[in-house]
Amino acid sequence: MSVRVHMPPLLRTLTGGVRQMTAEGHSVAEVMADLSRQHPLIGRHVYDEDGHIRCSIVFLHDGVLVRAGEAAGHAVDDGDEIVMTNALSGG
Amino acid sequence: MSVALVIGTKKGAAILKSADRKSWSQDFALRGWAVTASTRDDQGRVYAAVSHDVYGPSILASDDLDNWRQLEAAPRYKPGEKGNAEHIRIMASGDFMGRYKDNPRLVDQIWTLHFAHGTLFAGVSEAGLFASRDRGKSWEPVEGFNNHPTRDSWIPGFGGLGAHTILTDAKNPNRMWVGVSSSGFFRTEDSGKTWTQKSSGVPGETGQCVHCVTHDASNAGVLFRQEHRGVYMSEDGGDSWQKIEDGLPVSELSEGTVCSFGFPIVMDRRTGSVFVVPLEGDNFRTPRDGNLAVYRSHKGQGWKAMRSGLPENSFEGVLRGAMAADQMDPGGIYIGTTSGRIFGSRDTGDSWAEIAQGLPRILSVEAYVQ
Repeated sequence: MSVRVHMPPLLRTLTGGVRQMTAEGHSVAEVMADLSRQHPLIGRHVYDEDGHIRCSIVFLHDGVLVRAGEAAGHAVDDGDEIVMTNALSGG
Repeated sequence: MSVALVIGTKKGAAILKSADRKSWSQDFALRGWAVTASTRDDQGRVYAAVSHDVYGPSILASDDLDNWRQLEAAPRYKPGEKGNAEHIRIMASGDFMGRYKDNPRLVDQIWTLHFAHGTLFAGVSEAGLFASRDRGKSWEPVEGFNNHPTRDSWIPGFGGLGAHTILTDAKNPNRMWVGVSSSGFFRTEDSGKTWTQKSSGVPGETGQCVHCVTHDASNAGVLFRQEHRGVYMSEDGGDSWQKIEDGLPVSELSEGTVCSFGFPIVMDRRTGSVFVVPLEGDNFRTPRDGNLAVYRSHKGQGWKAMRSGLPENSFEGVLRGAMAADQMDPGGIYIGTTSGRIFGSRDTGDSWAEIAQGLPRILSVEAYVQ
């Protein structure tokens, strides 16, 4: 499954300013793992020491909120888009 | 010669440059990241430690202070290491799903960077020490410190459990010191294999809350220490400490101790002058009566307030890492405030001028002569 990942602006210094990256996987977790394999510097910001997705990252998949701990069980389809964003935002 | 200031703020780094220390150019880099520390190696490369509540810490490097690139690696604990439960509770406010219920030991912030003897050191939170001998491409934990026998008794301070001060001995690469809030000040004589608490003479049996320590690395055994409970000096490498508060304003701490509370302490090595910024106790943490003042001492022998050019009716503080000396002649001293202002002195503290304002909360200040 090829999935587009919408990158948070803060990490776009690591993508050359590109807003969307493409990665492969059958779940949100697999897509993020593939993205991090392609771009290890991004991976440093996605995963903590124990290999878990950092707890304050959340994803939006077709408008559904996917928390870090739910990423492995959340399936994606070919052509889907995942938005990577902050669990804490707003004002 | 010119001076460059790397001003680490909650939201990026202000880069100030000046040929005469009167007029300054200003750029703003590393937008969006909390810039917690910087240092420079012996080849002129500057390293900046950054962190973010969501995306964690990393280190960037620059050879010209204009172009920055993230390093391939940064300090990290090994998977599965157990952390300090109180520290996790302080830091993991975004842990909505209880992922950190087993208290993993994580690097959530790099408090200080220090270069000496060909090695780049990082002091981190949760408290630990890491070393890189390849300009930050890879990092090794200093296990003798990170797994110190007393670690289970270490207590986090208001900002968590952080290793914020690293000092080295220019004449003895086997000797160094590390300060941890709020667990004390440690010294090694064997390149980091073993560490001994060095707080004799400072109040408290455990949990000494060292805020910052400074010295001249070429005369490394003479140390000046801003502690939670006052200002101290050691002339024997930290084996014993004496209070040096003659001329400093004192205030009452929450537990009743009367002393001179503050955070940063720096030294102008050429003259031996030491500088602190007293605040009114741990309940208030603002300049007394709103008069921001830097106090100067010659080698710990009495303190004198330096107020000329500093603001009145100002309740902004100066954080632990937010004061620096450029080591020029005469010495330049710089402070960054919690209200985002930078004040600089070109005469070793006698007079001050505001050289930048309108910045985010200032976390760290370093001065580099170019």
